[in-house]
Amino acid sequence: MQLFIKEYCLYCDGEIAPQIDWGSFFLGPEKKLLCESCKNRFERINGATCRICCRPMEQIAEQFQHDDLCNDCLRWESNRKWKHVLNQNSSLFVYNDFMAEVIARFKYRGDYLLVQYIAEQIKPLIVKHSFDYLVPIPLSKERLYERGFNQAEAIGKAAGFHTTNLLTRVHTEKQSKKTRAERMDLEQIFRIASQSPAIDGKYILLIDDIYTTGSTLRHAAYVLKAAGAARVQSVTVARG
Amino acid sequence: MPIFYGIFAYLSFTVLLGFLSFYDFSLGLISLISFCHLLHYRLPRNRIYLLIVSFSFWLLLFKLNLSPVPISVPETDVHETIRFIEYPVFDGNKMSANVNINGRKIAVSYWLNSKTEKDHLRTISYPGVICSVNGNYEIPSQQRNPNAFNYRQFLLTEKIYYTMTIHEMKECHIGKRTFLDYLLIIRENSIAEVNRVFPTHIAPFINALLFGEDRGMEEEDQAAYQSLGLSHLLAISGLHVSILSVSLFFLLLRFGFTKEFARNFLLFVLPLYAVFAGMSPSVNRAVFMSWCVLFLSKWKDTFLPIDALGFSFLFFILRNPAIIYHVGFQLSYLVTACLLLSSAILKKHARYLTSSVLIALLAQLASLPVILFHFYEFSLVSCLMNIIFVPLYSFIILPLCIVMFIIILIMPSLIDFFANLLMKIVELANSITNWISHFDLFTITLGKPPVFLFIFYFFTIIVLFFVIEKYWLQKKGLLFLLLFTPIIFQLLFVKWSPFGEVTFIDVGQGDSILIRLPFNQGNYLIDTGGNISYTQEEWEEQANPYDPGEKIVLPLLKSRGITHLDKLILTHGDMDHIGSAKTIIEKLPIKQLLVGDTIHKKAFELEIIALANKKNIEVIHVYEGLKWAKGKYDFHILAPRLMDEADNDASIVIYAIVAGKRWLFTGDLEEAGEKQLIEKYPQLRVDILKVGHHGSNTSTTAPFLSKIKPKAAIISVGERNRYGHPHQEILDRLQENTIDIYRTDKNGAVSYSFFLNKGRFSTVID
Repeated sequence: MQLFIKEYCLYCDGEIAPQIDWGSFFLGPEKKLLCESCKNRFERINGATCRICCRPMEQIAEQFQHDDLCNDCLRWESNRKWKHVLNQNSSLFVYNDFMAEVIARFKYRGDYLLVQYIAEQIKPLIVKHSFDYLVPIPLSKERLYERGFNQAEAIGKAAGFHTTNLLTRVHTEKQSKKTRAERMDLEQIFRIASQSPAIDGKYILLIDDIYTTGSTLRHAAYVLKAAGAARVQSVTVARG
Repeated sequence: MPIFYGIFAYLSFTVLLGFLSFYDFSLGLISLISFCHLLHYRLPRNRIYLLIVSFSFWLLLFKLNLSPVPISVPETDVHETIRFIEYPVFDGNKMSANVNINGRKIAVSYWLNSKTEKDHLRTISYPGVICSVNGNYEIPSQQRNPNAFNYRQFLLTEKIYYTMTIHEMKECHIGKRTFLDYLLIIRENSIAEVNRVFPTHIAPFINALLFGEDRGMEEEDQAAYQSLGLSHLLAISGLHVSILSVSLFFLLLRFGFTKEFARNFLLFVLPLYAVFAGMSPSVNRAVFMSWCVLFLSKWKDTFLPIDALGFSFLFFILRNPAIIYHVGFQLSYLVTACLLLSSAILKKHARYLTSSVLIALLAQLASLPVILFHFYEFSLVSCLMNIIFVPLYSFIILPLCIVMFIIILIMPSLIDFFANLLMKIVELANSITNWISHFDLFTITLGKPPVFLFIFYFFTIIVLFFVIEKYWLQKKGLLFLLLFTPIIFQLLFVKWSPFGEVTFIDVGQGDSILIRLPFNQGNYLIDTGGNISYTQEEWEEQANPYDPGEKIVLPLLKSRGITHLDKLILTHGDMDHIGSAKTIIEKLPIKQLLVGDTIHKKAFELEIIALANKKNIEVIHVYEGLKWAKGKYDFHILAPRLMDEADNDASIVIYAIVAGKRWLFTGDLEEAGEKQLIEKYPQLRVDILKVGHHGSNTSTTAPFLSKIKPKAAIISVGERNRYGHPHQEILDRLQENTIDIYRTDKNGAVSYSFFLNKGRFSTVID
């Protein structure tokens, strides 16, 4: 006998235990996408982080911390070409094993519904920023054709924002096959899209699924800054 | 078709909205609309429609069931056959019980004629006994004073519409007893056994905990527990039932029974336990709810506890809509619902405070408006006391009581050790409560919140819980604001109300007049009412004889948030004016006591003066010519003359200017006194006259009336009094002079409430 309407977890397919509390009784139930135990496996970034890349300081050994910067960012910032290119990155979750699975499922295996939960979570983070354009990191045509959707754009749209494709990408090999040095010295992989609106003096917020070395975001920021953007920040779901 | 979680909780909430609309339609409708508006963002439209339909259904149900319909005047002097369904209560020479007459539940009372009759009637095992009686049907008395106990409403909560006074008990015989009757007999015998084994100050506690039986409990203990917000411990509550069921469940498992068996056994035993526990609303609720949860647990899709709670709530409301007036019912559902809704808060934050502390705090907060609405005050230490006493009762005293009772049944020889232990603990608990309840400091009397404020309290409490759930204690400023705004409103609207009043309290035959100046500038009470007591034999004396001061005047004062009197004025020494003065002096701080400066006072008046001296109350002997003023309110004493002989004509007479009106309060002034008054003060004109001596024809003479020319007259007189007051010729005389007449016997309390110089009369009974 099924007396009550059940909800199921988008990730593990388990039953979501119903809960009625003050908020859900008087404001109506929130649509629950994940069960509590799956939700708890997301590890939120809390506490002190690197001022620029949002890496949790607790992950960095003492000798690699330089005031409020991590060693990585210090190196980026001490390079004349890359100084002040990416003003700041904010990330939501720690890139743990679970996060890797989630991103894999959503990105590579096309579990598009999972984006709803991620979008719901990242929305407040996006709202915190002031920006003129929310710009997803683009995929190359070939990759987009393979995958069917741009994960960064999907997150931004699912969170209820208008995204602007200011950039296009020149097809290269997958990032994940490259070393850090290769990534840093990459020739330009982004171009300003034809027919893009005026960028001069604008505030740009880049959106992507994951920040690993920051090279992708910095390359995108570099192109935008070169086109006259006043400030380029970024939000990502995970910080690798 | 599957339904959504919370449906029963939502339907129950619409019951509350329906009831509110029944009380105050616009307020109820606004609440419904805001509720639906909040929900419509996330709930599908058809569920909103369901809520509205359900709301309309409940509103209709309350309209049909609770509206005061003119009840047909019942027959008198009838011969009936009554069937006892419970044991009667014997109090002095009064026996009262709820009985069954032709399938209807009737509250009967019978005045016993002799001690032998009482002794005989006490030996009967009543349930199932059938008696033929002669008596009069009566309509239960309605509320006669603002905020007074409403007996008619109380009986409605038990589905009783009529009372009967029995003149004559004829023969009785044992009818066909039902299973329930036998259970009640076993219960009564068990109670008697506990009473036999334990001393009288301990037995009632055990009986209360085991059988939900509060008879025989010391008034003082009961008052102490109530004033500290602990009385729920002495009633059988949900906590109680869950402790019992859970321990029984595990005991059965321990003895090797299957879970299935344990469950079925509990399903069978719980209803029986409800009978043993006295079947009060809180017992029924707790048992039925546990029963629902247990019963439905068989299916994999279990009910949420809040749905089980809602389901039982709907069940009880459908069975008898008037149950919603029951204080215990209100509190037990309110607190349980709030705690269930707070499960997220408790789960998340129970580590900061231990969960029992948090539960006590949340329960305290949730019950505050209802406590204020019914008891007009709350205790600051109540929360702390609950934190200590709930575990004490749940985990020590209650289990001990159960063990004790089992021991009595199987090994009476072992009893002493446990009995002593239990006695020590209960005595300790009681001495702590009695000691703490004597600190008036902890009791905050705020008065009765008006309906709009009552709803506002709930509104802020819901938001408060919501904020706590969402932000825990981060938004301290907001939490303080939410907590104190309604209390500040209550202080401004009730305790320091800008409205003043002159209320002629219906104390039966007698006088008691409250003058309350705006902004708490002055509270004056002229006379206290009082019962004329007769000498009684010991067996006839009731444990708590009726005292209008205790039952009417004090609750009225408390409901207005009045915690002290500036002046208590005793016009003269008759019992119907000062009979309850001792009660008032004992229970309420008083600044000044005004008595007439007369000689040869009666003994009772002297006793009161002595008591006042003992309590360090300033006693002023007043006589004509004295006066006092408070702001623009003037009070002049026109009588008695210095050293008058104490009697009716030496009553204190007060001429007052209140709300721009001229008032004359005459006590029991009679012809001679009136003559003196108009001779001494030929210019005396008044707007409102308190008619002298309850409308007796010895007062309110024609020359007096034609001289002072009142526009309105109030007669403070008891319904069906033995003196025939008010006399018809007085009523005629007042009418001839085109004076508006208000009578407390017909109108109940008569109140003149005013704001600045504008005011109007209102009566409790139209």
